Amino acid sequence: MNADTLETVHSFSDSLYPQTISDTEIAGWRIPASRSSELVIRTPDRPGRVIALPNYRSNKVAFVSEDTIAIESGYSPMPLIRTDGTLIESIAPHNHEWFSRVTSSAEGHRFAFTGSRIRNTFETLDPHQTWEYVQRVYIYDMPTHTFACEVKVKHSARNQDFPLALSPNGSTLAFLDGGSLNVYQLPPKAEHRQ
Amino acid sequence: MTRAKLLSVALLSVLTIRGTEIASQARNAEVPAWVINLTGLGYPTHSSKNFSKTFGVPPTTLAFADSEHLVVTFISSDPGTPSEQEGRPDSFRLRLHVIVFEVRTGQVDTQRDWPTPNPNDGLVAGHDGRLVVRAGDNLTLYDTTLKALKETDTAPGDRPNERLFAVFTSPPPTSCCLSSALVFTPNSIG
Repeated sequence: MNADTLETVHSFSDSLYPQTISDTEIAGWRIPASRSSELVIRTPDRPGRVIALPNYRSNKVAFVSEDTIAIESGYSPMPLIRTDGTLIESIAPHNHEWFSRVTSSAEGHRFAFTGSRIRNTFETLDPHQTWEYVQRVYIYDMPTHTFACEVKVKHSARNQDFPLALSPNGSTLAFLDGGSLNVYQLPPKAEHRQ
Repeated sequence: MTRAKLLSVALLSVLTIRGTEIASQARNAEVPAWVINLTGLGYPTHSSKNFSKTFGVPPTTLAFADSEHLVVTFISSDPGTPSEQEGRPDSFRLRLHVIVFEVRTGQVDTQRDWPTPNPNDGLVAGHDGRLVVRAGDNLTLYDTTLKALKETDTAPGDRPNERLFAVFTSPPPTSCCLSSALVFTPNSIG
């Protein structure tokens, strides 16, 4: 659907669980009956191709630009891949945290994600109950392959929704921490170019 | 010689001032430009026990409509109906709040709220000074004054059991992917 006109452009039926789209392609996980889940990237009018990702199973994926996908991989470095599956780079902030909530800027130069502390105090009694505390928001600058900055979250509540957004050119970050809407001006691109 | 010395001192001063600016701008990323507590604008910091039990964490969405306007949507629940206590999702009177902030100052530009059928309703995309908001199976395009520009019903008329399941947007939010799913209720099966 065209977001400017709300007109339907294409429609198709598939057993794909869509997770993310670019202007031309849709990526999501398909779960064949006999095998484990596979990442499929397709266009509306073509059935799509399976991307070989042997180390990932149904991880959350997100287009961060027209031709780049970030794969959320928990505590591990986050791979950025091209739409043919080629690894561009794996990025890792210096903190040991659980990385998630990949959110791109509209112009596709920067994206943000959260780093969280995960706890399970009553693991024996309730092994599936985890407590997440968002610690930081990281902003990655793709043209320079550097972290533009990180923002420390001051009053992280347990297991909160924590929505975030980047302005179209990635110069402003907004996130909701509890009931407080926080807006940060980020360093412009030229300043962190090495 | 004296002139050369003066010039180098001046150059050093410029570099020092510029260096200080860069350092302070980097530090500013740790200090918010502004913070607003949304509770005064209707945000439900403490949802009722029945609401949490039925819907979990109330969904909140943020998006920039453009570099000047930040949009926040969230769901609240109007004071309950008797059947709300039974935890039936359709017994809640949900309300969708849409607030447009000026990015530079944090001032509220426009604010509206209206009843909505679905706990997952809210902002879908912001782009070029426009925003797309979901309410049930309907998508509405607004400008930043929250004037409705266009509305569309995504439910296919020929498949009554098919409902809008999820909406995804591309990084330049010019495209949306609507995922629909078949919904079966005891009545539709029987």
